[in-house]
Amino acid sequence: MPYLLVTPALVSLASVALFPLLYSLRLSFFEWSIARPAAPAFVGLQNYGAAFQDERLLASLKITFILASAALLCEILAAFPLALLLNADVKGMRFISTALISPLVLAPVGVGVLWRIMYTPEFSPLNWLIAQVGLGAGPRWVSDRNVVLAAVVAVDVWHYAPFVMLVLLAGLKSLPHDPFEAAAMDGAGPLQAFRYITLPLLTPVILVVMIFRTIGLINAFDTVFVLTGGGPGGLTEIVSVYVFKTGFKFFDMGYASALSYILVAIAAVLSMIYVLLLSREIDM
Amino acid sequence: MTRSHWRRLGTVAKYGLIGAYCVIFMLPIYFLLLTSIRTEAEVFSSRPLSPPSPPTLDHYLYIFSSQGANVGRYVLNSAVVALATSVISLTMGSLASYSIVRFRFPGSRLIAFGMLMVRMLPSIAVVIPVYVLARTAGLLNSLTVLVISYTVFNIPFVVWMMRGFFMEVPAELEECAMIDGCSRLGALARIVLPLVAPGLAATAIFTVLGSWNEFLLALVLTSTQKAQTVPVILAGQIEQYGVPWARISAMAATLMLPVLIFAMIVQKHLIRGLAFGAVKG
Repeated sequence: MPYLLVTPALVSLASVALFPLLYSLRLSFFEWSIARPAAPAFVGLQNYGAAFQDERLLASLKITFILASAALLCEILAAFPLALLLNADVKGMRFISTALISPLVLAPVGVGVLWRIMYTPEFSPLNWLIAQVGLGAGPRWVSDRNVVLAAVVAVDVWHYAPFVMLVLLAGLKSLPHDPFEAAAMDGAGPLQAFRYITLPLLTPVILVVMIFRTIGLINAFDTVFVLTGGGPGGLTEIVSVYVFKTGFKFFDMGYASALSYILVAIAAVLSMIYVLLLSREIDM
Repeated sequence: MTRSHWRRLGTVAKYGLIGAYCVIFMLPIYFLLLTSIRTEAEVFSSRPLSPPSPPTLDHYLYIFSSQGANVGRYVLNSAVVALATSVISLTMGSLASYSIVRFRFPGSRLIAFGMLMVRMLPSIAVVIPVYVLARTAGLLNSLTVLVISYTVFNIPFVVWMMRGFFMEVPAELEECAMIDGCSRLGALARIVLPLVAPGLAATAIFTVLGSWNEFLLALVLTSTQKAQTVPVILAGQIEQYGVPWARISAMAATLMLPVLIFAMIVQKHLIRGLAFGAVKG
C-alpha cells in the first residue's frame, strides 16, 4: 500500500531530475542542429571542449556571477533593516504586509515588463523625479552601458527583497527571549545584542535564504530576457540567456545541452557548499 | 528633550522608514496600472504619477476582444493549466509525502532532500530535453504537455512542503481512529487532512502561483493561442517595434492583477508557507 502511494512521486522525481539530466547529457555528446534535417552526429566531448574556449560563455559566467553576488548582497542589506523594524509591535501589519509581498508574487516575466516600462526614460517616474531635483534628464537605464548592470540588480532586489525580509522576520520571531534578557541584565546595548546574539543565532536562517536566492539567481531567465534580452551589446547576457539563444535561436541543441550541463554542475557545487555550511551550523 | 520626545521621534522614524519601503515596493505597480488606463499619447505627455485625464479602458477592451489580442483565450489556458497542475500535484504529492513520513522509508530523509534539490535545477537545463521529448511525442503546443511538465516539476515540491506538516501530526491520533474501526485511508481523510489543511493551502498557493507565472517552458513548448499562456503572449508584445506601452501595461496588469488580489486575500497562508519552507524545513 505505501509503495502505491509513493510511486507517482518517485516516478516524477525520476522524470524531473534524472531523465532530463541523463537525456541532456546524452544530447551534449552530439552535434545536432534542429533547423537542419541532418540527423544528430556523435561528437563525443567536442562540445565541452568548445565550451571551455567559448569566450561568450566565459563572459556570461562572469556576468552571472557579478549580477548574482551584487543582487544577493543588496537583497540582504535591504531586507535586514526592514525585518528588524517589523520585529517589534507594528500597527497596521496587514496593510504593510500586503504592500510588501506584492512584488514577490508577480511573475518574473511581468516584473521584467513592468520595469521595462519603468525604465523607459521618456515617461519614467524615475527620470521625472531626477529632473525634478535638478539632476538633469537621468540615465537611459537599460540602454546605458554604464547603468544597465545596476538597473538589473535593482529590479531583482525589488522583486525578491520582500522574500528575504519575510524569512528573516520569521527567523527573528522564532528566536528565544532568554539570551536577550540575560544580555540586557548584563548591561548590553542593542548593537551588542545584535552582534553577539541575533546574528549568530540567525546564521542558519541567513544561510538558507542565501541558498534559495543563489540558486534562484543562477537559474533566473525570464526577467533579464524580457528586460534587456541580454543587451546592450551582451552586457547582461547571463548564462541562461546565452544557453537559450544557443538552443532556440541558433538551434544548436547539442551544444546548448553541454552548456546547460555546465550550469547544472555549477549550481550543484554551490548547493553542496551551502548545504555543508548549513549542516555544520545546525549540528552545532 | 525628554524621554517621551525621543520615543516619539523614534516611532516617527520607524513608521517613516517602513512607509518608505512600502512606497518603493508599490510605486512601480501603481505606475503600471496608471499607464494601462492612459491613452498612448498621454503616456508620453503627462506627469508620470498624476491621474490620467481622461482615463480610458480602451486598452483592456482591445486586448480582450477577439479582433485585438484575444487575451481571454490565454487567460483561460493559464487558468486551466494552473488548476489541473495543482489538483494533480497536490493529490499525488501529499499521498506520497504522507507515505514517506508514516511508513518510515529507508532513506526518507534523502528522498525529501532530493525533492528539494529538484527545485534547484536550472530551468534552462530541463527545457532542452523536455522540448526534444515533447517534439518527439508530438505533444508540442498542447495544454496537456504543459500540465504534465508542470505537475512533474511540482510533485517533489509538494512532497517536501507537506513533509513538515505531516510530521507535526502525531501518529497516535490515526492509531486511535484505526482501533475504533477506521481504515488507514479513512483516518487519513478524517483526521490528518483537516489538521494539515493550512499546509495544503500554503502549498496550493505556491503551485497555482508557480504555474500561472511560469514562462520558459510555456514559451518553448507552445506556439499558438491554442496552448499559449499569458506570460508568453505578454513577452511577445515586447519584441515588436513601436511598442504600444499603454496596451502592454494593460496586458501586464491582466497577468499580475489577479495575482495581487489573490495574494492579498491569502497572505496569511502565503507568508506562513514561505517562512515554513525556509525556517523549519
